[in-house]
Amino acid sequence: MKRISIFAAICLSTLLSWNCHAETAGASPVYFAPLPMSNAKLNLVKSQLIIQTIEKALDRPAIPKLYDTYQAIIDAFLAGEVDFVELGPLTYLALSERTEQVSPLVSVNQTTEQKQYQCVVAAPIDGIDRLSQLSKKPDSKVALTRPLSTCGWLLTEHLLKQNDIQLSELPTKFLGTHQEVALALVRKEYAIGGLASFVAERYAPLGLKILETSDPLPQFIIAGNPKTVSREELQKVQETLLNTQPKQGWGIGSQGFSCFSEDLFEGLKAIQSKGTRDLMPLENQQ
Amino acid sequence: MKWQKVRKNLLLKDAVVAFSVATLIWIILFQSIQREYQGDIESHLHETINNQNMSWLAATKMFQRGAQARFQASIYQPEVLDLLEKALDPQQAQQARLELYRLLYPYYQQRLLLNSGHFHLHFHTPDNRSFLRFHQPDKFGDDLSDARPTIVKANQTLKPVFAFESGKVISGLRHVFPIIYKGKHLGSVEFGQKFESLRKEIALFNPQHEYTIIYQASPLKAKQFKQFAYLYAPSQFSADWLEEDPFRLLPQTPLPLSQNFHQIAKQASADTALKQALANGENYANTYLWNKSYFILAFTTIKDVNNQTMAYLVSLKQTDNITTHHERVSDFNAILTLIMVLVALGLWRILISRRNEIHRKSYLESINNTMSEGLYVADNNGLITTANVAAQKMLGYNENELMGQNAHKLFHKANAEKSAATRCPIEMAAKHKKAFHGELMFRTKQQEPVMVSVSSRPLFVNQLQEGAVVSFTNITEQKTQDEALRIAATAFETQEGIMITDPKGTILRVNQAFTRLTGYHQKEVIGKKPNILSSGRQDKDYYRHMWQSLYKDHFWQGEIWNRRKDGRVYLEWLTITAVVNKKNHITHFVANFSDVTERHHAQEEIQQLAFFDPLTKLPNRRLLLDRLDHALLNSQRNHQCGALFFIDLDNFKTLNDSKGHMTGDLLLIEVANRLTRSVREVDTVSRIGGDEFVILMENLGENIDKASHQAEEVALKILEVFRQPFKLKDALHHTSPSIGVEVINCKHMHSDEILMHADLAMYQAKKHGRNTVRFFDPQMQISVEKIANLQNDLRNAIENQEFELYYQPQVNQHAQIIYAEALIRWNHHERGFVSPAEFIPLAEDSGLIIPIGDWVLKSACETLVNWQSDPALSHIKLAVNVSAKQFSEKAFVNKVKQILMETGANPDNLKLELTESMILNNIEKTIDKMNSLRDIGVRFSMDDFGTGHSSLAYLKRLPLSQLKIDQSFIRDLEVDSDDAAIVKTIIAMSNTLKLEVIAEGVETFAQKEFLRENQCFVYQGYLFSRPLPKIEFENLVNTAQNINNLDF
Repeated sequence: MKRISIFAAICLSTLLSWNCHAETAGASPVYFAPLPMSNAKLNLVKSQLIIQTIEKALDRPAIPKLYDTYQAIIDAFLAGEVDFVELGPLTYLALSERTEQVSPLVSVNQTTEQKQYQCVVAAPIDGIDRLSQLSKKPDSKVALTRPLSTCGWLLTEHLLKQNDIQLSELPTKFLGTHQEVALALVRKEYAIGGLASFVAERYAPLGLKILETSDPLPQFIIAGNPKTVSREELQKVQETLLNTQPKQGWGIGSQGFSCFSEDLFEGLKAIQSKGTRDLMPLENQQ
Repeated sequence: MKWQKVRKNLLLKDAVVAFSVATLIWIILFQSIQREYQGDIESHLHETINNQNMSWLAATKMFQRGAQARFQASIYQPEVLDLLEKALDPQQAQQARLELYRLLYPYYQQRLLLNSGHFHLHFHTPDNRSFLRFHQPDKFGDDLSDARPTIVKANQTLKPVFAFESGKVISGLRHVFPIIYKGKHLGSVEFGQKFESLRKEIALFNPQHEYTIIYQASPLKAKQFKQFAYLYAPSQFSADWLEEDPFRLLPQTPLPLSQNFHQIAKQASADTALKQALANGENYANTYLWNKSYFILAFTTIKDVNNQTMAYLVSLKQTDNITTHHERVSDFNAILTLIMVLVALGLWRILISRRNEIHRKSYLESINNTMSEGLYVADNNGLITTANVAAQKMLGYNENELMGQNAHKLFHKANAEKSAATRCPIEMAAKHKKAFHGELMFRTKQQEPVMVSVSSRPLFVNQLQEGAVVSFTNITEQKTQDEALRIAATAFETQEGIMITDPKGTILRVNQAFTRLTGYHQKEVIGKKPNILSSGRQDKDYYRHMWQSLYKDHFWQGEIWNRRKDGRVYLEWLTITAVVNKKNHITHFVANFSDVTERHHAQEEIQQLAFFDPLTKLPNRRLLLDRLDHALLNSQRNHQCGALFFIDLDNFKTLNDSKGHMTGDLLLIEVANRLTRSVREVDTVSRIGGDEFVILMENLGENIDKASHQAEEVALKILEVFRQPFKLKDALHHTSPSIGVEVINCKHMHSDEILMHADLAMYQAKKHGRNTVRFFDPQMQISVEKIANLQNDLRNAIENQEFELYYQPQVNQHAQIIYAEALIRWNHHERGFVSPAEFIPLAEDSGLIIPIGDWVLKSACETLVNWQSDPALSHIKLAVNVSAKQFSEKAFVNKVKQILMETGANPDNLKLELTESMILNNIEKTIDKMNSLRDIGVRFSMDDFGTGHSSLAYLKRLPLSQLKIDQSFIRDLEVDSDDAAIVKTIIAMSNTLKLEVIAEGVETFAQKEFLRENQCFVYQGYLFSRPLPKIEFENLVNTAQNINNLDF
């Protein structure tokens, strides 16, 4: 069923970008992989802005390719099946460990006001007030987003460790999205959950509180595949994305892009080095 | 071939008519069938719309009942109501929301599963704000007053509200229940069904239909959350209407629309009736053909809570009924078309047959009417039964006027009296069954005679005579031409010579005048070329131009010198006209000519008189000006300088007066010869009048300095040739020219201006002592203009009272004022005082000296009258200057007498000062005039004495009382011994003649002493007084009287 859904999504994406293809029919297409979402069709819509921007920069057709997991994206990138990818910081590090042939181009702004990306550990509004209270409830369940998500295992573990709590000792579950983690906490189905700060803040008025917040982390990035795209084309895409103004609407790039910086990754790498789980293999980490 | 083409066209025309009629019938029948067909279709569409409306209503009612049950069972429960009551307290609202979410989340999840995700649960506060959305829990607190009328209405009326309504996120069928608990209004709750739920229900009623919904764009865009904009997109039918969830992003969204739907929607988007129906919020249905099948696309309105159209339920259904119906109509139309083609062919056949009949008749009529001869048919009674167009035209009657008329009575008779039918030769011949041929005179309707050639034959039909056929031709023109030829033959023998040649110039015919004028007989020139007359005076170019003109314009006219047979040359005025045929080819040349030799000579003589001076044979003024105009044009065009010499003979008048005009004429002829020899042959020497000659020289080069130099050389050469004496009859005469030269350059524009400049220069030459040359200087022009202006002012000076008399005392040796000289002064209105030395010569030249002199005389007399009553002044005698012109007037004496009489002045106190020159002009007349005046007491003084040619002989005869020594002798008296000697002589002479002597211009005491010592006792000059205005003079006299001790 999932395969059929993906196949249908690819067909739809092809249909959506048909006009662009018609204009640039003479050139070979490039492929863009966004981060996975539970709703594949919504993911396609989310990718429309950046798809159009890449086409405009290269004068080539650009087609979105959807993958169910971060790992699938990395594998496709390594196999040269995709030319551009949206990556979370951790996914980027995972990919960088596998290959040097990855060119980070820009960071994706999540909001116009807050350009920094942070992870939090949150709890129901009427749940624990401090993480230290958690140690007294060793069977407390932890809600997580998904493997290789920066705010998933790695940062949740890191934040808990700061409070001398070992995540590996607690029951965890990947719910798929940050929103699902937030609502599950509101419903008090989990003691705590790891999620992005901007999502947690959105659900706080409903019944959620933030217990711990990470240092600023790198934003999601757009990376190019130097194995399949020339240096000049990568540079063109980078320049075009950086010149993209925030737009009305929704999707990747609707809040604009920033210059990519390796600085924040040093902190993330340090966190990663202290983590208890290797980044690979990922499929078994649920 | 042409007739066949015409016939083909007529057949085509008949075919067009036949098929047009058939097509018209076909259209009427076809439209009738179409109307019936359309009626059926419209009925079908109407039924579709009704069914669709009914289905929609049934589905919404069904969901309405379900919603009421759920409200009672799941919401209107104590634990829920307690939480909602708690939510009324702002302090507890957040906690109540959290608990409500946790409480009803399982129910919500259950409903989602049961309804395949098509369920919607939303709580609102009493003031229409969102309290909790289960499908978007993080979105709450927003005001729904504008976006959600159903909620507002439910909270206002406290009654359930059911309506289809768009929302801020998604649209759907809304069931809003107000929540009243314990008498409190806690707000409202809403169950929502998405369109997909309704669609599935409707589809159960009409499984063959495909359904979708479109929303009105503007109200929806106004209320929705911007971040969910992707949930709507412009519909395929119109951008004003939106399609929901175009990407099928929402859970359990309906399957994408079929390919048929997309294709039909594409067609419908161009349907203007649909656009209009959507704009008006009306139901609409129509059929569309796609892929050889008919589809019905139906739009039924979906009303919101306010009964406004907010969306359309759209359905598509393939319909076999219409396809079958359409095929049946098509078959019927095909049969109808076939029948109509057959009808058209039959009609065409009838039209062809009828046209052939008409054509045959028309053909015969056309032949009859095409004949140039007149033709009529008369029956046995002589009455006309038919007449062709030519006959009608020739006779001036129309067909009706001729029919049934007796031809002989109507137009045969040439004369009114010859009217008896028995005399008609045509009828007579017909009666005898014979033909008639002859010339007769017919008479038209306007009673104009027409000469005709008539031919008549009896008409037999089935061997029975039915009258006669008469044809006739108008021969009037032919008769007229015969007459014209006769007249032309006579005209040919005119007084002018006529020669007719063929196009090559070979003589064909000449008239008798030709023989008379040239001496050649006709037989001598026939077959020869006109050059036998050639005199040789015209060159080949002349004849070439003549032939060119003849071939181009078919006409030439001009004078030509020819030679007679006897060798004498004569001038003829020749006109040649080319005769051309209809193709414009020359067939003949006709030349007619007359001898104009005498006239030519007369014209030459007139020319000579008009442009040449008869005496010297030189060009006159008119010819000179003409050549000067040409010279100026040439100068401007070629940048060539030239020169104009204005030559006036010095003292020519004296010669004329002294030796007579004959001698003067001889001098002029000789001068003309010498001038002509002095210049180049190309130069123009002219005499423009009297002793004035003008020489025009052209082409003196582009450099004006060099041209001036050349002109000067010529002028000097002329002066040189004049140095030789002229032999006139047997005497030698010396004369000299005054030459004015104007150098012409391309700047000059008018010949008059040039001539005037040269004249001015000549005048300057005269002024500078004659026998000399002067070139025109622009300063001359300025000076002349200045003089002209002054003359003009002078003319008005008397009227403007600008003249004034000043009085200069004349004293005796004791410095007593005994006389005075009246001196005119001109107080110019702009320039102030103008010197008499400046304006008196102008007055002399212009003749104004006469009125000015009269004014002076009259004014002086009036002064005398004034002084008569003053004892101090009454003894003073007043001297008045008289000009030569004034004195030479015949009426001078009478004029003086009249002024004296009019003013009442005492003539004894008036002294007129005359100059030597005016006296010498005509001594006898002068003496008479002086005597006449002296007789009444007027005295005379000889002014400027010593400067003229006075001789004692005539001085003795003049009735003078005084001699006035000219001031030029007095001025240098002390230093010039000659002047002193002259003064002494004059004084001695005056003493001899017993005339008083007065010296003017005495300015020093030494001068006065010298004069006194030499017996001159009357003086005038600045030593005593300058000329004074009348008042000052009178004061001076009075003062002197009072002091009475003036002694020098």
